[in-house]
Amino acid sequence: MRGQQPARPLVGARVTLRRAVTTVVAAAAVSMAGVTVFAQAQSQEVERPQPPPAGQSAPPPAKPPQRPSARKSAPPQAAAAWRGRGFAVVSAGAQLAAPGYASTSVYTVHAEDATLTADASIGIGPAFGARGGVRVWKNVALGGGLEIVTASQDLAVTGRIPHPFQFNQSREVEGTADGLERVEALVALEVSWYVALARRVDMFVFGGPAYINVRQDMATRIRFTESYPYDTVTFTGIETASVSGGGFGVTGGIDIAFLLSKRVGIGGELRYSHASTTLTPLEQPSAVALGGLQVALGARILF
Amino acid sequence: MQRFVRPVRWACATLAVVAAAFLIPVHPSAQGGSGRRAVSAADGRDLRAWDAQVTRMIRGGELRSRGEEPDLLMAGRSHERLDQYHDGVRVFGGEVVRQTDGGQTVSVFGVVYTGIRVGTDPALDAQDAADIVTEMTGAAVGPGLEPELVVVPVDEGGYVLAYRLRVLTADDLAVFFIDAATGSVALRYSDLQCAVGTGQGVLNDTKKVSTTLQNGTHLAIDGMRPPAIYTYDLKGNLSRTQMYLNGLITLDESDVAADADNQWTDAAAVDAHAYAGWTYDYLYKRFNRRGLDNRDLAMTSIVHPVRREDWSTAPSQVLNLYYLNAFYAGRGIMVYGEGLPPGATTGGRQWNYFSGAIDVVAHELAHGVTDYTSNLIYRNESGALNEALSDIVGTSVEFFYQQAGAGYMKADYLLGEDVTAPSGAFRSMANPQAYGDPDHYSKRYLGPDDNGGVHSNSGIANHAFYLAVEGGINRTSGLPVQGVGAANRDRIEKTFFRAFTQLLPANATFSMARAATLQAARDLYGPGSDVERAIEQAWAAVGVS
Repeated sequence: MRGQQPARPLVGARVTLRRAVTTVVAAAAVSMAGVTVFAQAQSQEVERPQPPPAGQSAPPPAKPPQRPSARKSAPPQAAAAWRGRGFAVVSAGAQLAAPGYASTSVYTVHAEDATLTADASIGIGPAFGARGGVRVWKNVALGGGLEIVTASQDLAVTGRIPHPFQFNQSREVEGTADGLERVEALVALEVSWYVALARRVDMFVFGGPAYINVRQDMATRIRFTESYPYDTVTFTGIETASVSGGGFGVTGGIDIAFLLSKRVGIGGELRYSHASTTLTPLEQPSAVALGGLQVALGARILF
Repeated sequence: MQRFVRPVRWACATLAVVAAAFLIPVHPSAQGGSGRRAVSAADGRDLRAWDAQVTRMIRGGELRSRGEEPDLLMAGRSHERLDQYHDGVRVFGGEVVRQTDGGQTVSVFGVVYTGIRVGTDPALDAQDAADIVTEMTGAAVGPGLEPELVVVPVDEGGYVLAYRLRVLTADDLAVFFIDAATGSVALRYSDLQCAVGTGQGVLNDTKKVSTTLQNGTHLAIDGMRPPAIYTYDLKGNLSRTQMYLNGLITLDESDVAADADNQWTDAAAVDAHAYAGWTYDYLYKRFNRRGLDNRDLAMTSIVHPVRREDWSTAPSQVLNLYYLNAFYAGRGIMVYGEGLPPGATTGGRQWNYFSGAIDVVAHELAHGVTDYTSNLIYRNESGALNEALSDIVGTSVEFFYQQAGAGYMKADYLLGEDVTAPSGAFRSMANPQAYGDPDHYSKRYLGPDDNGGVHSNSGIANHAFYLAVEGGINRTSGLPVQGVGAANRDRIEKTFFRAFTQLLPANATFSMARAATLQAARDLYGPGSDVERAIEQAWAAVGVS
């Protein structure tokens, strides 16, 4: 239906920039401290509807607009076709939700196995990312993305602490530990599909395989106090270990940009990623889900 | 122009000084004042400066090498420990560890004390200090524990010339620093480092052992319970055992049962040590009692008072006391018989280490409780009641920790069944007559042996306890008793314990014991309770009115 709207690209003046593109280099360096983006577009080509001059109404379409020969048979909506060479996105935002995990540690206290079970919930944390792609076919681009998410973990800890004098008389203990660190880094190979939503509004729908690496604190032992007759223990905290690992998964999302100029815009991104890995803080491996739902705002560059 | 140059110069000079303060490490020798200097140098200027300083201090006699050991994990590396000295006296806690690699210093860590201005001529000698500690703790200090003159940094600041002495007291392994000028205690701390090990008991069961780590060796000193609980291994030295029991000598750290890896294999020591602790726990949990004297008196167990292999040549008195018996020697000291070597028998029975029976251990410790409470005179009826309470506590502890049943390590009403084979025991509370003991007052022993039959007539009160718990019919009187049931045994235990320890006088009789237990039942559970009824029926069944 978009192709039947009179103010849409079919009646606008077509802007065609040089077709030949030499080299596109986009690099993004993302760090915990901030985001730096280097984008160099030696040329760009975007076929985009142009508004009529002020005070003029759009002329009626006398005939189908001139299109490159390769696109003559394209349906009307294809007039929103993306003719650029690529894009680069840098963004900063937050991870809104992420799957928790459970971990277990078994270690020796009082000559017997003590157990710790931690149910971790992942809090909201800042996310920094960069994506880029090169158009490879029609509105489809192939590229990649990087993302770093820092979040804190809150743990609900339960455990069993053996009795110092008797076997099989462990004391139950529970507590919480908040604010444990977690940093995820995502690297993804992404296919992006470009959609022009409005005159200055573009959208990319993207997705692809991802590798997510995580470095996080994990509970290893329960700190406690006890006193005679040792029938109970008091939870005072946990000991942690910084553990890292990674796993392959998927990522996908949408990115909507409002163009401030032909090349530069601002936009928002909604991304969901998922992978899993196995981390071993002591001797017992724990399956840990990675990724989550992130939203971010940032700069968009088309070239 | 001149006016601009001068401020710039001042600014540059100031900046340089500030930068130097931050960037250039202060040379160790430049640090004046008094106090504790932590040394932690592993690279750069700090390392070179401290390495040179250590060398200077060695030359000046302020540091003396205690020895150098090769690194066990990195070939070529070695570690030298250096003690700090002040005018020839060691500074307690002043120590530097220097790591070298082929003669090249790799790291220097340590603590060096500065500003020491105490004199090093003591007013007291070492023996004076030892005597002061002995007077304070009651622990005799032998010649092997020569007090060391040291300079000790004290918590209030400054330094004191003091004698350092580590002694095993009744409840601690304590380190004393006796001021060499005044004789006061400049500093004291506990050197107990608690640990939990495991060990195989006499019946090959694995149990936890609360121990203390000392100089890399685990000692049978329980530092986790309120009282100190020691288990000494006298290594078959009977004369030393007897001298200790007679107060002629004190035992020291070298007498404490020990194990290198805390995986204990001396079954007699394991059970003596563990069961002493379990009995303390029972008394605490059941009666809110804190040990033998209710003041956490130290509990001392002695194992291996004799050598098993000497049993066949041992005099009969020694055989009966130190091989085939266990006894409470007063002052919280228990001695456990060695038993006989495997295969050897006497009276048709084999005998294992006596500490291997939890009821035996608890029985002996209960004598200590009696000592500090009613102090029932150990002859005639009061003596029988004394023995009965020990049997009652022994059996109650057994039921507290073991499942009811028959056989080794099962809770029953036999005494000492876990240390003899084939099946048998010393006494039976369920059926005293099975071991020749009376189950009825009319059958009590009235002769002079065994202090008037204290180990025999105890069967009357023991059986009353049994009937009050389990119920049943007395074989002599034929009277039935409706017991409170095994699930409520704690009520009968509390009633008897309260009556025997707190209500009875030292010269009590069976009749008084009956009245006291009924009073205790009424006090604890009200008049007409099932406990009072069961106890009344029980005493009637055994012929005590």
